[in-house]
Amino acid sequence: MKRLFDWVLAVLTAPMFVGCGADFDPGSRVVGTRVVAVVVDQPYAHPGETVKVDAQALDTLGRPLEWGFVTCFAPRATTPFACFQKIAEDAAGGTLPALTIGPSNTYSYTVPADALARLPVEARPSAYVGVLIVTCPGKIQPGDTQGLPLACVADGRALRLDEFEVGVKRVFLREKDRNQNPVIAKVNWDGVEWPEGEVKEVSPCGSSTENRYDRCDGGEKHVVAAILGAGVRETGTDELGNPFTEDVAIQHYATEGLFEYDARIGDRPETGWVARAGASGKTVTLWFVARDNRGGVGWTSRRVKVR
Amino acid sequence: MSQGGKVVAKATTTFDGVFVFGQLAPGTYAVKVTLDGFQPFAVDETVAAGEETQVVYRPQVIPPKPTGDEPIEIEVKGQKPPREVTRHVLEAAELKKIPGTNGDAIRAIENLPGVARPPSVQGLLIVRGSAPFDTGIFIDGTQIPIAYHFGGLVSVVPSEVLERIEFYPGNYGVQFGRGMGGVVDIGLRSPKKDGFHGLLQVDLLDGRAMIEGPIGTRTRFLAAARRSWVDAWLKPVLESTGTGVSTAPVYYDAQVILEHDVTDQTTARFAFFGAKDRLAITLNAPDPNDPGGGDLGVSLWFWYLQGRVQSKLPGGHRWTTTISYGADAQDVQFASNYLRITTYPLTLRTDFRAKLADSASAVFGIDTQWSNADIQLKVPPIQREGEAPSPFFSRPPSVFDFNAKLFRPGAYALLDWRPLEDLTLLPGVRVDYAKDTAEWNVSPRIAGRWNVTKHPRTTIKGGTGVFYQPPQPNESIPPYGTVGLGNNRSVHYSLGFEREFGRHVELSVEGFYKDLRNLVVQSDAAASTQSGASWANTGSGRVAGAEFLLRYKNDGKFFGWIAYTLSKSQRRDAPGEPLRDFQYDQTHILSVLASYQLGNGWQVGGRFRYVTGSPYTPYTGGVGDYDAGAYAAIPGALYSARDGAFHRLDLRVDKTWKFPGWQLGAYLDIQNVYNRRNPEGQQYNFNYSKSQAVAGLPILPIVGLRGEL
Repeated sequence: MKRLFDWVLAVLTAPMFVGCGADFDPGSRVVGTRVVAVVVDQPYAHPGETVKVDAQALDTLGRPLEWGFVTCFAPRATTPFACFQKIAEDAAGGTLPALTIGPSNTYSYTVPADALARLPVEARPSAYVGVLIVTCPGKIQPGDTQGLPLACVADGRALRLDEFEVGVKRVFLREKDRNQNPVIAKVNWDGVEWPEGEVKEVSPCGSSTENRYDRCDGGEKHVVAAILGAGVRETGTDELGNPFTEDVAIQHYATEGLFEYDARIGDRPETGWVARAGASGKTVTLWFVARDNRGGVGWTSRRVKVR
Repeated sequence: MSQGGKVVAKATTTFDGVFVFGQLAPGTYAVKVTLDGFQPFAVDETVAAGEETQVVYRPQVIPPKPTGDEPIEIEVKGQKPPREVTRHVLEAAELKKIPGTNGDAIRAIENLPGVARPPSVQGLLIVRGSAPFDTGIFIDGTQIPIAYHFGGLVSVVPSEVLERIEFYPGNYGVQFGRGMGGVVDIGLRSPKKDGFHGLLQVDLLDGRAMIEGPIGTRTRFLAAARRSWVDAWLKPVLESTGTGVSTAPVYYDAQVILEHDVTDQTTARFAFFGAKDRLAITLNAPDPNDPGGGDLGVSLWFWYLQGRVQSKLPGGHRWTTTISYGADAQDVQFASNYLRITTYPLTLRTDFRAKLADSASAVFGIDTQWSNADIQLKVPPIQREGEAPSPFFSRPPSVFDFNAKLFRPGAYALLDWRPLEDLTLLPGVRVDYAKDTAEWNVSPRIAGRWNVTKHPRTTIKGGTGVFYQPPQPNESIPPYGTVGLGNNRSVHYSLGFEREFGRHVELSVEGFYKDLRNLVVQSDAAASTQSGASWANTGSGRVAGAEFLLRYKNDGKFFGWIAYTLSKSQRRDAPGEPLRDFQYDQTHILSVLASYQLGNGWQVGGRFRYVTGSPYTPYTGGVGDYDAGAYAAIPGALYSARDGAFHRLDLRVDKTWKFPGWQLGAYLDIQNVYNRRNPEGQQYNFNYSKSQAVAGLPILPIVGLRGEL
């Protein structure tokens, strides 16, 4: 069993070392095109049901976005890459669903009535439909982007994968279970409620290049917090008989500045935030995205003007 | 030397007391020792076929005065000719003074040919291009789950309680089975019976104590314990970096040995050995790259009770039986995910060595394992080997709580035959059964050694054999594993020579090849288990290489060696696929080490290592996981890139002060003297668009004190 133990330990701790110790830009800083939240009205969908997918993205260069949607039914694994593999297999078998391309950031999908019945019993606990979403600040075309069979062309060139967005949202398939999307009840600014339309004003710290919150000195540092609604953290026993208690995390994004914590657990949502000198004179958008670990997503945003 | 009252041989020792009787027929001999100024004495010695008997005599000086002098020790050095093609035996004096190992005997193995360098802070043993779990680690025949405490800096058995470490890089004898890699067989030593002795040692990593001595005339004991205090100084260091560590790594181990002479020919021994490692990390916030994170807790422990009876039987036969029972546990908890495996192995090993004729002896043995495991887990679905990391925040976990039983009986027979005076052949066969795969395996093996010249000795050696390894329990036992799996299979081939240049210098060159078949790999088939994975015996591979060892054996002042391994280890997951580099493939592995006694209690040594960087799977970019709000890497070709080369210099200085009845030692062991930033893999930014190499351990000086009674 040592092999299993080593594998589990490596998998569980691997994310802790992504970006660890290096001076990479924080993932919370949005540069270019970024999808910050994808909400499905029913994260746990039933066979025969139609679900609506609503993707929220921004492009810091103000370019119009083109969206592409395609689904993968019951991939072999629950990784995003497994969805790509399933689509490739379906394409090879001549059953590829059409890629829906257009300016709309929403998409509807109807779960087949026999979606669960057609799967082996062992595969049902993790059965899902993956919605592959392409978010392009240009035109989506067939092509090859770092191994993916598509391209996003803008300004006359095919963009690199980190210049546009490709990702997967899962719609889990269940006979009876439901999952509610988490709701952010309010956002606090230094402990006081921050209404959605209110634009705060701050002074930036002295650096335009610093990537650590604790080293960005000389400006105003404020504590922001996305407060979850009551009962957001669902608990119970699922239809498979497994007891569960949701983990809910708040992730932060901003078009400039540094968060003390890019993510927090829902019970301890406070994080510091400071703007950097390079944002002087600009209005920065802060996004707060609540995610539960069963596919539920809720979000809100606020704006800050940097002096 | 006489037998049946008839003198059969005479010898005169060298200036340092060494004598050798060569080519004796098996049997019991009376050895009479005389030397001017010493009291003559006579003892009986038994010589078995195919083995070299080593003895140390301590003749008493004839006291010129009634006050007398201390006894003088005359040590007869020698080694058993190996039964296997290649067996490396390190002397105790070398083991404790190898630079860069902090005096840890088991870590000395990493300097031998055929042993790859494991990734930093991973205590793995990678032998001849095999996976770490292909190599078995045994304490007197009882397999233990790990060789090293966390970080790989310290082994789980301290050097002070070791009698021997035998390392077989491959093509080993039929006494060992259920493995395709190498074997490390660690022997606990007998407690001393010439009075009470003790040891106290402290250094930056741990503190240890040991006491031993006789209980009456026929019984003796040894008790030792060790605890790390890395947590005492590492915790504040980590906290200052903002890691949020609540407990730094802590390790413990303990050994108790009770040995009793039942008769003059039979010794019974009871041993307890165990170890525990514990680590806990508290994070201030979840990781944005996988926001399900929380506190991490890891605990590993094992303990075994072992009973062993060794008997010398009339006619030169020997019988050894070892029974052990214990538990080993692996426990990891990360946020709401967990894996808890507690295994209770019961093993029986009995080994009967019979003398058949003057030129032949035989070994018959039984080697059986029962194991009962309790398993609870809630973990992300299994990923394929080399599959890129993907957030598991919202991926439905596999949840299991089940019991698994393993029954793996085995038996073996070996003939030790000398058809010619200088030719030894060792044909053997082993039969194993694994209940979890319902598979019987017959493993024929043969090794041979031919002494082409005697003085200096030149030996040509070679061998081949079949090795089976059952799947890991999580691969073969339902509901987690796949039903119907077979055992992994490997055929080892090796051919080489050994050449002595005088008493102290020896060159060993050996080529090896391993053909790997029926390897258990993750299958592309739809999941047939509730773990979300399927397994199949579609893997295959090969390992080819050559090992060179130029060694200057310890002459009391100096020892050292140059070990170099050239190897290529490749795998494929399915027939028809091209071979690719194996995860632990390292093309060049060079170790150069030397240690010299300056006199007046001073000893200095150095070790230099150069190793080709390990393969890794590069990531070409990232795609969004919109449930986790993070990115999953897009993997490039499996293990198609390599880290930069590793090289490092270690130095060690020892100083010993001798006092009446005890001695005090101090040492400074500096690892990575020139503070090389060795690449140990890659780290990526949040969306896998940028990467940089991760640096390994920086310069690490360890200072220690050691008092011995």
